[in-house]
Amino acid sequence: MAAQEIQIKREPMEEAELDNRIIELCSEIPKGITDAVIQNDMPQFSPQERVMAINRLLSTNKVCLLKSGSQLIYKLKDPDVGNKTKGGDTQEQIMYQIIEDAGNKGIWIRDIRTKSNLPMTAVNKLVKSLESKKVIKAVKSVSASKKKVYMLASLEPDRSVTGGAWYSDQDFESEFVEVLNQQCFNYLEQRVKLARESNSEPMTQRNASFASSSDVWKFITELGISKVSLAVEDIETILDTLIYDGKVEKSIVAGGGAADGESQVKLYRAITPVIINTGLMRSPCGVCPVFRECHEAGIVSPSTCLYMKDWLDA
Amino acid sequence: MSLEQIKLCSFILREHFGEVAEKIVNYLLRKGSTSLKPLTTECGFTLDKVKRCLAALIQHGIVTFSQHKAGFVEYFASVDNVLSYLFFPQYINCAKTLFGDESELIIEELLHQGQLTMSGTINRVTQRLAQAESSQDVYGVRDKFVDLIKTQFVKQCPLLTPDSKARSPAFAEDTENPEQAFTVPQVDLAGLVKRKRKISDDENEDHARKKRKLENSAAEKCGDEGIYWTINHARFQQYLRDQAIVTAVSRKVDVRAGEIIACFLRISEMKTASESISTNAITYNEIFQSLPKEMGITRQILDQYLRIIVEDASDFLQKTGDSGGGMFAINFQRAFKHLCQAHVQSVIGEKYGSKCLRVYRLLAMKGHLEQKQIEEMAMIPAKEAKEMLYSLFDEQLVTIKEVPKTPDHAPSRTFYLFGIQLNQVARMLLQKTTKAMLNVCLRRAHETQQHRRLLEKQQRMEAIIASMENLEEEQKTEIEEMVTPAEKAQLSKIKKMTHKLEQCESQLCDTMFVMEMYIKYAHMK
Ligand code: SF4
Repeated sequence: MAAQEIQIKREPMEEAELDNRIIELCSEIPKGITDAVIQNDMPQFSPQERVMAINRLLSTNKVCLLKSGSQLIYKLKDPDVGNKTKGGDTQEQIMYQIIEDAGNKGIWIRDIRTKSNLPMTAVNKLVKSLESKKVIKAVKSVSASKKKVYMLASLEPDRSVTGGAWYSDQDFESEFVEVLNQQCFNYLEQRVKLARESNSEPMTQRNASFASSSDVWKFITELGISKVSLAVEDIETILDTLIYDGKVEKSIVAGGGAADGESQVKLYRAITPVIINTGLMRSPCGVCPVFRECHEAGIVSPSTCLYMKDWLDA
Repeated sequence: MSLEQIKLCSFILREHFGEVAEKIVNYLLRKGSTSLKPLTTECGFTLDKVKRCLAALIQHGIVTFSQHKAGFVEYFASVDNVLSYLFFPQYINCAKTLFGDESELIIEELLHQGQLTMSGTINRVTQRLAQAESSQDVYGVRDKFVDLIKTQFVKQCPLLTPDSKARSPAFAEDTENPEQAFTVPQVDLAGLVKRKRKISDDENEDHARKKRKLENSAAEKCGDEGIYWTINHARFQQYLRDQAIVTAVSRKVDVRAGEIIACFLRISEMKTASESISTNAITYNEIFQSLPKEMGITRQILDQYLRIIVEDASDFLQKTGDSGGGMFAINFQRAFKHLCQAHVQSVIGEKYGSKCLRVYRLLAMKGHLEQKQIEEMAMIPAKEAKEMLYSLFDEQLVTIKEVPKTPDHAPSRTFYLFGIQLNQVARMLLQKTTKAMLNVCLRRAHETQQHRRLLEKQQRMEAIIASMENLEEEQKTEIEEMVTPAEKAQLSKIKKMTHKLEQCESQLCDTMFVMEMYIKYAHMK
């Protein structure tokens, strides 16, 4: 009898030890642990005891069970999950967990389904209910219109989802981009002009015509044309478009701004194109919509052409 | 040889040599080569006409001939030589800027006549100068001619070899001594001088008589009979090529940089074989020494300029070594690739807008890209980007490459990469430019045709005024009033139009030149 009592008394202690150790393991490895991890750590417990411990922890909402590939993994549960999804059932909690894991990049509803292994209808319902409780929110992704991703309501969506400064309401603000493109160019062009006027030696002139991306950034910020705050990298993207336009060239120099801890400085400079305009485009035929159909003695012909006439009379 | 080129050739021939020549050359181009017989039968002209026409064409280097193995004489025509007529205004201009008015006239005469002896040219030019009341004398003109020979803008035609057995005359190709073409012959100009004096003696003699007299005296021996001179197209083309680079550098960097490059090209000319991709390397010191002193460029400034041009993205000048203060070379292949791109981009920018240009340049810079990447880098909304890419594709300005992920080529599992084949684009653009050139030429011909009577009237009037020297002011106005004010307005309008068309032709010519140069150099190894 006494021996039995002792056994009974020891059991809760061991159970508590097992429980605590599992929680400890979970917090050490936030990605979650598998059964094998527990077994390695505490070989003294039988599989049955481990199952019981996990069940205890699951029922008290301390850990949760997720499926990763073919394996089951255990993960520590947020202490406040219980509060946020109060009144929700375990399924809702799983849902929350999955969405939380996705971070500020969000997760697509179909991915939630595969991760949770619940039927689509259930997933839809659960997500709706979480959304109505304002625990999570849906954000339209710019990468694919109509594709919504879910994330916790408290999070600020990632750039890759919103598209950064260039998007408002998932719409690409191409006008805004063009305005910035123009302004950056104006600034650089002004710079070249000033350098030219200085009449100094060619190399000095050339160096003076370069502006760093942070110079341009400062100019744009002071101009106050942007409602959203732009980072230097945003301006660099815009400057890149100017390079593709063939209006600006870039040169990277080492060192320079050691104060900002940057090892390279990106310098930009407005350039003049090598030719003014090609001959073809200065003749009416260059932009003629019926160029292919035009033949001497045809319906459209050079001698009778009205485009030519307008051009000659102009 | 594209259809557009042949059509343009036909037009040029019709303008300069008439319809017989047009037909004959067309036939030759179609057949490659023929003997004399089919030219008469197929083209439907009399033997005499064909012969005379061929003689003129041979004189102008458009048609060449050789003896076939079977014994008959074959004739060939060259498209390029016909198309070079488009460049004549540029040639003349070049001679004028380089060597002055007399040289301009010399080149004009040679272009007009195809081939001339040196004394013959000098004779013609002095006559024209005398009419223009220029003070230049025979020896002055001779010096200019010698300059042109020395700078190789004018070359000697191959001499005839006396070979009585051959059925066609053969030329001595002096392959061993290419310098032969540029040796100055001994010319005795005493006869010409005498003549000149005679002209000035009897100033009042009327034109017709003066002319006859000159023609007679042209028979006087000058010692260079049989030695004919003609334009050296290759040299002029080379000059235009250099000019294109100089202009580009002047625009891109500044005028002084352009002058340095011009100077560079002048030195390199003597050291470089004419048909090579790039110039031989030239040292910094050599460049410095040959800079004209009045430019006032110090060593330090030159060094800076050279660095700037080398570092420039336009790829015109390369540093090839460090000896002698640095060695530099111009790579024509790269330079013309850049210029060609610039022309293509100009077309795209003008025709499809700046955003399309951005897409195109992005592709040119990065190679192959997916639509998605293009949108992101160029910062253009997906829909717009798609439209642009497809219109560029439609015009064959960009290419699409399929890279299937799976062997079934299913569109959903395939990458579509957009890219640029500059070679193709340049060819296409060259064709378009050729066609535009033809159109503009045709229009000009049409306008002149339309107003022919009026133009003739004006010419008559001017001839009258010119022929009657020491005319009273009154009489002059009287004659001028033959042309009514309305007609005058019309005339000035025609003049404006022709000028505009001619200017356009010259610009088209520039584009054609760059494209041709690019294509030519792109094929060189
Ligand atoms: S001639 Fe007139 S119709 Fe013909 S291609 Fe030129 S602009 Fe067009």
